[in-house]
Amino acid sequence: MKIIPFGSALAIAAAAFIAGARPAAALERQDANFKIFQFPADKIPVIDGKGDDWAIVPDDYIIGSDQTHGDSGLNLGKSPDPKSLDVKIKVGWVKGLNRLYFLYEAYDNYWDFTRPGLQGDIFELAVDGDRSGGSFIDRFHPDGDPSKATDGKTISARDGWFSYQGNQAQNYHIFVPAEGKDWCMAWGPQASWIKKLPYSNVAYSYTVKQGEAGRVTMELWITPFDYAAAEGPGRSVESVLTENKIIGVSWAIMDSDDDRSNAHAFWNLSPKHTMFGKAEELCAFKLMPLEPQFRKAIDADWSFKIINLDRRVVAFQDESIGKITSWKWDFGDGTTSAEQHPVHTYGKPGQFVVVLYIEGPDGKSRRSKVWDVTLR
Amino acid sequence: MNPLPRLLLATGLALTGARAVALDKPDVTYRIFQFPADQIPRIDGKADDWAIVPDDYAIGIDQMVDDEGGHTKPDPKDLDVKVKVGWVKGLNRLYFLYEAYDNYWDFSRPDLHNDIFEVVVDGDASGGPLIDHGHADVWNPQAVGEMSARDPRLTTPQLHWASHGVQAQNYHIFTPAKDKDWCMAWSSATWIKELPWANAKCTYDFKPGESGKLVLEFWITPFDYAGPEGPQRAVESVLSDNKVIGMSWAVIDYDDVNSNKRSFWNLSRHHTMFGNASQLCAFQLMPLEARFRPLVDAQWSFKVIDADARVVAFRDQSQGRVTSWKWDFGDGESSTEQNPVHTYKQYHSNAVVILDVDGPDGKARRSKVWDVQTR
Repeated sequence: MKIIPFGSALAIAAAAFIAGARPAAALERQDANFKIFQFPADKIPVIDGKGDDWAIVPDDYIIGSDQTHGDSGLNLGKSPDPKSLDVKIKVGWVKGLNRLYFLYEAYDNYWDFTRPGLQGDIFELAVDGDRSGGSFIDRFHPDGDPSKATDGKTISARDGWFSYQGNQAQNYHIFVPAEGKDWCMAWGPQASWIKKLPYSNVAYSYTVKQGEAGRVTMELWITPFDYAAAEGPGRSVESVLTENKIIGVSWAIMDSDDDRSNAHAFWNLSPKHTMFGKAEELCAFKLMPLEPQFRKAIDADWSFKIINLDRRVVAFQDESIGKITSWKWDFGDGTTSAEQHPVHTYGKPGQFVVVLYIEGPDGKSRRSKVWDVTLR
Repeated sequence: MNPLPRLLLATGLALTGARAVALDKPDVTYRIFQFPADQIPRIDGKADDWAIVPDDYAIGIDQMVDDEGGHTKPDPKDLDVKVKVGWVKGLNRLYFLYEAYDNYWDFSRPDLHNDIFEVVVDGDASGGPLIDHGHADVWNPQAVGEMSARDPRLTTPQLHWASHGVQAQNYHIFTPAKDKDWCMAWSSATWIKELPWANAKCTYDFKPGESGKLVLEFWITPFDYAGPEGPQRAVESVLSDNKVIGMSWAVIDYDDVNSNKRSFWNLSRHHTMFGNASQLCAFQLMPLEARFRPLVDAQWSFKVIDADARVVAFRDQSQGRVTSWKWDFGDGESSTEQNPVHTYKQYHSNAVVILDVDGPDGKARRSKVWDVQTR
């Protein structure tokens, strides 16, 4: 963040960084167990700025501002004071959607949001969806700081920006709230596309005015990218979110309490100040499985792959949930199998109704797929 | 629908011909409601988030004709259906709310014998047959003209995988789906029925064979191209304000689990719309209704016209009555044009560009922090 004075924080961060060539072996916050709640597909939050659809998220998913520390600027070395700023954050995901959902509920004794530039109250969010680590802003380019390039030994400033910044991890400066401006500064050459639908969506609810104390609720989703290209989504690759995967996430709540000043308090979730541009300094967040109350005791499900289309060889994969003691597959061609993961060769072309029947101590279940298995 | 006899009723209507230029029902354009981005329906099988959709968007069974089961007119005591369709600007999805009463819900069997909501969508209205050449009810000279001629050099597998459901899609949605996937995606691309391309939820409190009311909520993603290889080679249809897409549906109603007799309540006047996208109806993606728009709202976008010369074209996209524009390009320069083209003198990655608009209904501002970047 070039325009914000870091003060002595740079020295602290620099000292912490001397230890390491990239990428570091471990993410930050080994002391914490940050969890990302899995929403069932029929309870995906509506991005309306209201927290009601997050009531199903248990309290142990909440990450409060008490988890942050003051690491620069106005709050160096301080602990958060809930009378000045109190933030509770929940993070969610949905299996099958490569999106991270956030609920941000905040009290601030002074809301600052009327200036058009990079000032005011900001939720700075950094995400590394494949936890590949490494730096991702131009200033931390391995060939040096492009803005200081004078001798031709470093890359140019424009290449540091257009072919490096935000590519392998992304940083969003989210305005809380945003009035008369886009909802965030997406820090990189992806800005023109990554902060719009379908990749992101945001809504706020609040009644506070500039300079007042009060509460703001913000709800949003973003899409993390393993590679986010300047040229647009056609050259970009979404991070695939799967159960139990660990991703890198950190944030800083940048609190401005004076609209005549560009100074912020910087409440950082990571112990490393430069997490905003160094993905190995992010914290470990885990994409959790569905909580038990949203799972059936037993539920049949399966997938298949056509191994050899010419010989009509199909591999079936059991994906059922629960305690299962027996499987029965009806392949729809008059043959069956009792294996869990059978491979079946069909004798002739056709469109088949395939049914998996399962049984266990908690009951039985079946799942049919009509004509998904079609062979010619 | 191959396995069951299709009647000839519709064939006569289709005689006019090969690859129709116009969609079905030239006098009717059905409307697709635009949801605001902060009121996207949750797919929970409940109708509450559709209350904002005006009734004149609803399409009832009075718009449908049973072209297979012999009913001459709808009987709401036998079957009553109301459908609303929605979309969200920026998401290439079609949302559906399907509310139905049936005197006999048929859904206990694992196969295609099930009450079904069959939806056919052609997201770019490109028309033409969408099911494979094995289906003589679609691929005959009366329906598709010379296209029905079979080239012996092309194999059946090639014709199937390269054509079936690829340029328009057909979903047989089970109402309800019990112990089975929510639909049969009748396509060489079966992956289109899973998240993130689709999501569905049904609520009901009847058992097989009983009467009652069902609410089905779902979204699907229309594709200009969807092949069996998977989403990496597929191309979503781009949904935009006022675009007309091709779509039809049929409500397939079985009233006896032991009989294959059924009704086929078709929105199109062509029975074979299930396999011929030229026989679909016109649906228009409506703009946001006025009550969801601020009176004046500043919006803009930009394109870098020449990266080396740092020429950027700005486009005003503000809503409402605007009489004056003021652009601050973030480099000390400004403009009062509506759609200015500006040349930056040097590399910028941190310009704050501000558009201020003014008009009889008020003023508005939109700044973008560091979006406009020049090499």
